[in-house]
Amino acid sequence: MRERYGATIFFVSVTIVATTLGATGIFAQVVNQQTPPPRPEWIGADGKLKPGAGPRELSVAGPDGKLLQDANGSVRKVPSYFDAVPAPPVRGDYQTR
Amino acid sequence: MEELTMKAYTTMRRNRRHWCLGNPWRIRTLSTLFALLFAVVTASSAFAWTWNNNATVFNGPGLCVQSTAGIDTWKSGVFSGNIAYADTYALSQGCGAGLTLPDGWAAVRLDLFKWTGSEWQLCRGTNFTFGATGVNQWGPYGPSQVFSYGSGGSGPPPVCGTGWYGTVAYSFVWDGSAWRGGGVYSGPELAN
Repeated sequence: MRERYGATIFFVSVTIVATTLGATGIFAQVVNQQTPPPRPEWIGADGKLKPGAGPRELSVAGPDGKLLQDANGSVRKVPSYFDAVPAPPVRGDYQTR
Repeated sequence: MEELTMKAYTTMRRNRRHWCLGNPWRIRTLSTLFALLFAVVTASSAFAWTWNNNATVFNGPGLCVQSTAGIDTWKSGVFSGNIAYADTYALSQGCGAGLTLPDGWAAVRLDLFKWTGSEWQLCRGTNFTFGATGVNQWGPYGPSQVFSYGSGGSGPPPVCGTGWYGTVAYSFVWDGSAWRGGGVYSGPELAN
């Protein structure tokens, strides 16, 4: 009787663990052998952009995933615009409605 | 004859029931196999999309600004695609009801980043898109941006190659004197 009880616990435990791994995607990471990258350093733990924390310039990924380079071989960089805000709406924008 | 048929039918049902439920080892084995199958099936479909939904980027006098940054990836056999998107919403102070604001008073832009293995690089970026905000039958609405970054699968690969992608949405709302808002990160998504 005790053996049957132990076997049931074993199978139930395997079922719960396998279901949890599948539902949470942990099994997917193992299968795909991929670990998610860390969040960008200019993103806070709350998932929001940290004002003033981002680089002023960013390197650009090309179609092959490699860095885009200029004709002289230097890494191409573009302004990040992290802290840019839009220009104020023109008066006509809201007078027409 | 009819009685015999009923007996045979009853016996067959009993046997079938016994095979399924009468043997505890079969129950345990079947349930374990089902759980493992579930784990494998969900493994292939996990990480199909990631989003940071309605994140509050500003909450001040008279105005709350919320932003959504999302990234989807193409998965075989599933209605899906490699898509990056961003939305801006204006709500009342405390992030309550949606606000109706004129065209041009809300803006959104989005950057798509690609992970190289050591750093995040810009893959694609957009300019600000402006629009109005309001409330419809589905709730608050505002300007949005969405674009495909490659079909995946048998179609064109992701525009910056296969690998991990992430979206940063920048959402702003004009409060009458200044733009209020900020950026949010979608989270990473593996695109093939």
